[in-house]
Amino acid sequence: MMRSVYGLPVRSILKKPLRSAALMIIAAFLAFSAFGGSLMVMSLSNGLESLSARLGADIVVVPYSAASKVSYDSVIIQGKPGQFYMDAKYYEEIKNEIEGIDKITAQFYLASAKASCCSARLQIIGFDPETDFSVQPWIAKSYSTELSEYDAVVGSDVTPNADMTIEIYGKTLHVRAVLEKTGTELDSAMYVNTATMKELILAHNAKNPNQERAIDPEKVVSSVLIKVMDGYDIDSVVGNINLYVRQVKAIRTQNMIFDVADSLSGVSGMISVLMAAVWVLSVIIMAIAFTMMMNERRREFAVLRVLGVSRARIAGFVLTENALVTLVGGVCGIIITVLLTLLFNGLIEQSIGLPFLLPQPSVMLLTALITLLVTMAAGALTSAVSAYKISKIDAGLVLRGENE
Amino acid sequence: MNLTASNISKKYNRSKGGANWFYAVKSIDLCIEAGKLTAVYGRSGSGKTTLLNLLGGLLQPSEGKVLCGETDIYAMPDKELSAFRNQHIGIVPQGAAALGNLTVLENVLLPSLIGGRSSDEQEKRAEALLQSFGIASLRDVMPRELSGGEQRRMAIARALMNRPEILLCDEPTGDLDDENTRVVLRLLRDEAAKGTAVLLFTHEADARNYADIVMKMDGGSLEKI
Ligand SMILES: Nc1ncnc2c1ncn2[C@@H]1O[C@H](COP(=O)(O)OP(=O)(O)O)[C@@H](O)[C@H]1O
Ligand SMILES: [Mg+2]
Repeated sequence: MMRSVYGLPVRSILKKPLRSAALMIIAAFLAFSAFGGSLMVMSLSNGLESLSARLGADIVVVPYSAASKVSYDSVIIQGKPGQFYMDAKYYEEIKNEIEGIDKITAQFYLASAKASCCSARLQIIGFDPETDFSVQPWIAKSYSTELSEYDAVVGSDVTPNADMTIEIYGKTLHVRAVLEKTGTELDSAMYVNTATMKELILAHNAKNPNQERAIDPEKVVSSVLIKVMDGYDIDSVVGNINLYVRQVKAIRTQNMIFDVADSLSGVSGMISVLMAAVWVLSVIIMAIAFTMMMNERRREFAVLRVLGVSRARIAGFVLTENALVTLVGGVCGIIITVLLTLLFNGLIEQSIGLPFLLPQPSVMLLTALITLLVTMAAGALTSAVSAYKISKIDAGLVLRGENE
Repeated sequence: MNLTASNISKKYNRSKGGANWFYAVKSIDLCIEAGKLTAVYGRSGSGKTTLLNLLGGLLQPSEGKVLCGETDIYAMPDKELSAFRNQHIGIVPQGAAALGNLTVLENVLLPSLIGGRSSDEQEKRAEALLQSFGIASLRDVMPRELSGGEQRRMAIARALMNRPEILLCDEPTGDLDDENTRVVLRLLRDEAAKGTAVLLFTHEADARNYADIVMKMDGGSLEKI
């Protein structure tokens, strides 16, 4: 039993389920594309930010040979499995002879063969606890005690044995902590201190007697990370290293990130264009569908006028009906987006090959609310024209015709 | 309350751009008196519906005034006029006029909901109306399941819901059989007997037996017979 005249829009939605569902699907599609698109773009730039923030260094120095051969930037920034080495003397050279260095530390990379823990290759990253300023601040969030020999901290995708150990080259490592998800291949990396790293390299050499040149862990490093002193220009420090130290290449971290960012802004741009196209199309379809539906109901609104409903209130009914439809449709679209994102999060990351970090739940909620508002605003816009037209009908003229 | 039309006309321009004025209603003076059933005969196209719309506040006249009691209804803005129509003027439109999404009872109750009144008392009134119109058993049925005669009775019951002083009916017996026609005419006469000013547009010859005043409409003009 209807108790108020405000039940009319609800009633016409419920009594014409197919018609309402069609409009709701369009609204859901609007919300889905807007919310999904925003989440994608946000997650991508989130992932990128986490990368640069985490590295903490202004300059990265890699062996010159690596600069041309390996995609060293993805090894360093995204933790892709890979390894390269240079003579440790260059580390000393840079440290002693280049001016303007605040902090300097060396890292070791070793891309292990298949290990017990992982589906893919495990990237092992060795850092020097004495000088490190890049890895430790980050792992301190999960594990604040200093790592001892044969201790390891692993990325979120690495699954240790039940007793929190991992076997590698016949050595047993103790997993002390599992890190937060980063959205990059760092999630399948393992961090150890230099001492452990040296043992692992020796064990690796022993398992691979045929390799061209055995790696001498005492004599090499993989990369050198530098934090520049305040008051010094990062670019001139980079220039000095490249000028005075042979066999190495210094790169400004920012430029490496830019390379990643470049492909990212390409993806974001594509998403935005797609989103805009979907919106324009859906809004047009919705406007046409709604106008047609309302036109069919001119008689119904004429009867309401006869019974004493004002023109303004007729417009209100049309707008309310559309608002309810887009509200329900929009909420459905948002729920579907959340489900799909949670479900295919990993797949998206893999297929675009870029870090993908969903925003905080609070940010997601806010984005969802904004999406809903925008969707409803679009709905209101599409119905505004029909609301105006319907409110202007001459009830007498509409009802003058014979029975329908 | 009487409904008085003084010298009202409605003209339409029948040629685009030019000025080919056509009078659908032409200089009509009319008073529909409280407590009387006024019947107006007229062929199709004689201007009956146009006149009803003018009288009911649904169509702005080109010239002239419509007074409900002392109120000049077209002097009011739409919101007030709509509320006034809801309170004081019951209209039975030509043809099917049921709201298909509402049950028969809800259709009849609707004018009171539009007026912002919702109570058990209103619901009782709606049910009583259905009862006296002989369609009480159909209260929870959707209108599309009703016969033509039942739909028409529902429309009249709905027009009477807010106890209007004026009732305007546009060919309410148009597509009904003799039996149903008599039922409807009797209902209208009873309503007039209660003090309502009833105007009936029809081409039902039988209607003159029920009416207090009979008039004839032709080419937009009205004459007494
Ligand atoms: N909006 C309009 N534009 C032009 N002519 C109209 C319009 N409305 C009504 N008419 C004309 O006015 C005349 C009277 O119409 P109507 O009042 O519907 O007659 P009835 O109800 O007696 O059949 C008709 O000739 C009709 O064509
Ligand atoms: Mg007519």
